[in-house]
Amino acid sequence: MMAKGMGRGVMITVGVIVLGVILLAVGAVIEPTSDAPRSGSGIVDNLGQALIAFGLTLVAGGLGYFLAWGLQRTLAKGVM
Amino acid sequence: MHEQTTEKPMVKYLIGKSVASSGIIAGLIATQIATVFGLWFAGAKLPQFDFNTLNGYLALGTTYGFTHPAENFLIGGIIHYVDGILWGLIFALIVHPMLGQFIKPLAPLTPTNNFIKGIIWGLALWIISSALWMPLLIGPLLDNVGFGGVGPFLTHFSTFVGYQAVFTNLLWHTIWGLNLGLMFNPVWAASTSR
Repeated sequence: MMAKGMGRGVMITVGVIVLGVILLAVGAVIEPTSDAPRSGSGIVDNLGQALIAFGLTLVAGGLGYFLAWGLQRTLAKGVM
Repeated sequence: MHEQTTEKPMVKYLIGKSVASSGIIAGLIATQIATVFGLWFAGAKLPQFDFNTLNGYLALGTTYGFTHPAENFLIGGIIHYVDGILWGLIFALIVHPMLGQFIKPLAPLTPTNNFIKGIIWGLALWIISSALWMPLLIGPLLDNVGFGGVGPFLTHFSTFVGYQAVFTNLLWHTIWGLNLGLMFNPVWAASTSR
């Protein structure tokens, strides 16, 4: 039962990381380079940067969960 | 791993010998990692998040901060790190056990549950930062020097950064929360022998 729950958690985490990588890639493609001309002046709303930040958030959260899951397995084996 | 001998059943921590010392060390590590990543954000095409400088402006004022950037960064950094350590201590002493009481699936002391609790606390601080700290405290400072202030819930930061600021702030606080949840890691002593 515990192993099944853990397996589902890992699968969800893989999905979160994949979604994060996709958002990150889309954001990186549509984000203009820093030396590209920007239209007008004033506040610069930027969808590319928002997607990069949110994608990285999902990737970081997913990788962090994997680290915690690995630590949990290590403790269960009594290594530490 | 250090074992705490005063509690029954025994809880042990990944770092530190007590709940308080573990929370303080975890808060320091989380704040250092997140702060450094915030300064590196520009490398990922994101707006740089320099909480040291912003805290310096808050404590010393923008007039002094703009003319003495090094001192402003240093003083602001001390304030920022003390804040981060105290938020970590509050997490360890209050938020972590409280989440286990109110959200039953998070009650068992396991590394994954501890991690999820850290993420939840990071998201809570992201909301506080975006809804209160940035617009109410930093906004007027920037507005006074002609940089345009901060929008409600960080919908813009000065006249240079738009709504991407709130997502970048989310990334910063997620990095802080995940490091806190990984480092502050109490588990039952018996769980290692299974």
